[in-house]
Amino acid sequence: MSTHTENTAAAPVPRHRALRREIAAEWVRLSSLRSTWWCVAAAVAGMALFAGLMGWTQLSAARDDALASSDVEFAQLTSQGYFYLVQFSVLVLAALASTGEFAHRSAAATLAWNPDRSVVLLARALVTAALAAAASVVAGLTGTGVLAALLSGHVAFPLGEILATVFGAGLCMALFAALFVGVGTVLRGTAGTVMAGFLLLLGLPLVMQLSGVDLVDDLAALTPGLAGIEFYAAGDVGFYSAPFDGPVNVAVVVGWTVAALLAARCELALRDV
Amino acid sequence: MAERAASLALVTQRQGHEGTDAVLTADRLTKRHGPRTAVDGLSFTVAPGRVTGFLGPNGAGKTTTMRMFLDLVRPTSGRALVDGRRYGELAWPAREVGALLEAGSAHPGRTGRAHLRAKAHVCGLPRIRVEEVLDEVGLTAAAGRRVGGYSLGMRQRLGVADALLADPGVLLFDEPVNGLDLDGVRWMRELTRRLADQGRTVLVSSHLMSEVEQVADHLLVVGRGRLVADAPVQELIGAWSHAHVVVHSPRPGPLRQCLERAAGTDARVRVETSGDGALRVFGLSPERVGDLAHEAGTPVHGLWSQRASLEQAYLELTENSVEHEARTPEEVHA
Repeated sequence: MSTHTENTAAAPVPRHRALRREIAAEWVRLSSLRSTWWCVAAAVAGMALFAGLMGWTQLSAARDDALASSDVEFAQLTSQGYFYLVQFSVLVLAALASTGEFAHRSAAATLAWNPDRSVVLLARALVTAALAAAASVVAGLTGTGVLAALLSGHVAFPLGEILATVFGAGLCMALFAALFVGVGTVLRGTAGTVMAGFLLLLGLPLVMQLSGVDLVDDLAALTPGLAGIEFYAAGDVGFYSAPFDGPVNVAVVVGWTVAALLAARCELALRDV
Repeated sequence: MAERAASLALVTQRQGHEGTDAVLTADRLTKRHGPRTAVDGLSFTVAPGRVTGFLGPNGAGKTTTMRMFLDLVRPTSGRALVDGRRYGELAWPAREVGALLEAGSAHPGRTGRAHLRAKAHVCGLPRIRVEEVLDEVGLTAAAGRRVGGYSLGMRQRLGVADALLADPGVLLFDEPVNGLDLDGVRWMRELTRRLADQGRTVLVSSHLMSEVEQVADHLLVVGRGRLVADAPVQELIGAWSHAHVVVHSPRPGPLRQCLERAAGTDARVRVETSGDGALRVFGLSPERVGDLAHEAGTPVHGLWSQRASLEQAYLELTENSVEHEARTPEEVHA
């Protein structure tokens, strides 16, 4: 063992360097867990399965009625795959990244290593968001590939539109990942975080739409799941018409994410580990 | 009992806040969880170059106090300082303080090596340091396995590796021998000793007096969140051992009278009768007690000198401070 004297005179670490180091540590934490890769695999496999099923249905329709099948929207199908499957893989990924340490009491080690809660939270949100974005883009491209393989020769293949959806969804899934890192840090429980995420992304907006009250129905568009799909499907969701178009939808998701991370930061400051 | 308490109070007052080279300082540290007070106005200092034992029954507030030093638990009032600053205000906390928290502060789904690599990134240390410290704690062969498959002793060793990784000057070990086998316990003792001899500040918590007695130079004893004693180990033994002479006689009455006559006005000498009829004589040597028995003409069936162990002292110190106390069936139904 070397002597300890060299450490006692350590100069303060600039915050940006501390963040870079924490990001590297967070990547080790996230990538060294098998559950992380199961979530990534679930996102890609889920999208492939969804595209396969939808592609097969469209292919059957095209064989029956070639004229009707020309209405098939690649981007719309891909965005629905994100909405129904991929976003829930991202939810579980973020929930495990943020709550696993509290469940297994390893959060004490993480915060003892770096007591700057802002840096720890920001690093976790950035790393989880980056992985969620990458997994979502791979899932989207996989789904598009499956659709293209099944439907080539039957429908048009609008590459620009598809890429806009895939990368828009990647951005949105990154924001969802950061959002649920915040929610998970506040709740500190995996089950509670997954439940809250499911309600925010799907349950709550569906119930609000069922209410029959116009105002409540419109407010459902401000929940992150519906605002997200409206953004990455570029207004062509297919099962729902939003009252708001354009960048306001991604701004809504950003707002939810910032609010969740601020709540998480406050919670880390106020609650003991 | 009152005299012992007074003598210990002196020890506590003399030792408390002494030493300008203190590295760890608890200043009226208090932590309340609702109506329950876990740590109650704790004030002490820990100096470098020696092993300070932090002793108390389960629930006495040891872990909470250590966590307050690491900014993991916010004090309700008071301060826990490292080198005069809060942990979070240190230039590079993880390189200045190493902590072995409870066994299990590594995620069970992660390998031991990955756990340490994450910390190496935070501390700006090269990968080779991870391998060095794994070798030092004897975990190289198991480093690629997931922590969930480790025994309790292996998890403790990983916790020690975590604490030593950045070669810090201050070490906090919370119940370090829990789960270790005999070899591990000996290794831990030698390591603790070596770290203090290198000039580091070492605070070791335990609820086992027998363990701390073998390694600590100085003791902090807590009970129900309060400081009960703060003294060098030898001084604590001296203040609490109260060497006395036990004498068995079939005629204890005349012997007692003789002993009390000999004591005269010397307040240091006193005689007590124990439950089995034996006399316990404080303040006189065994030879003097034998001579006095001979002068009194009383037969003596047994006579020996007895010193209380540090363990007995600890039990007396904390007898009213045990948070979770088992009761006998008779006590339950009383």
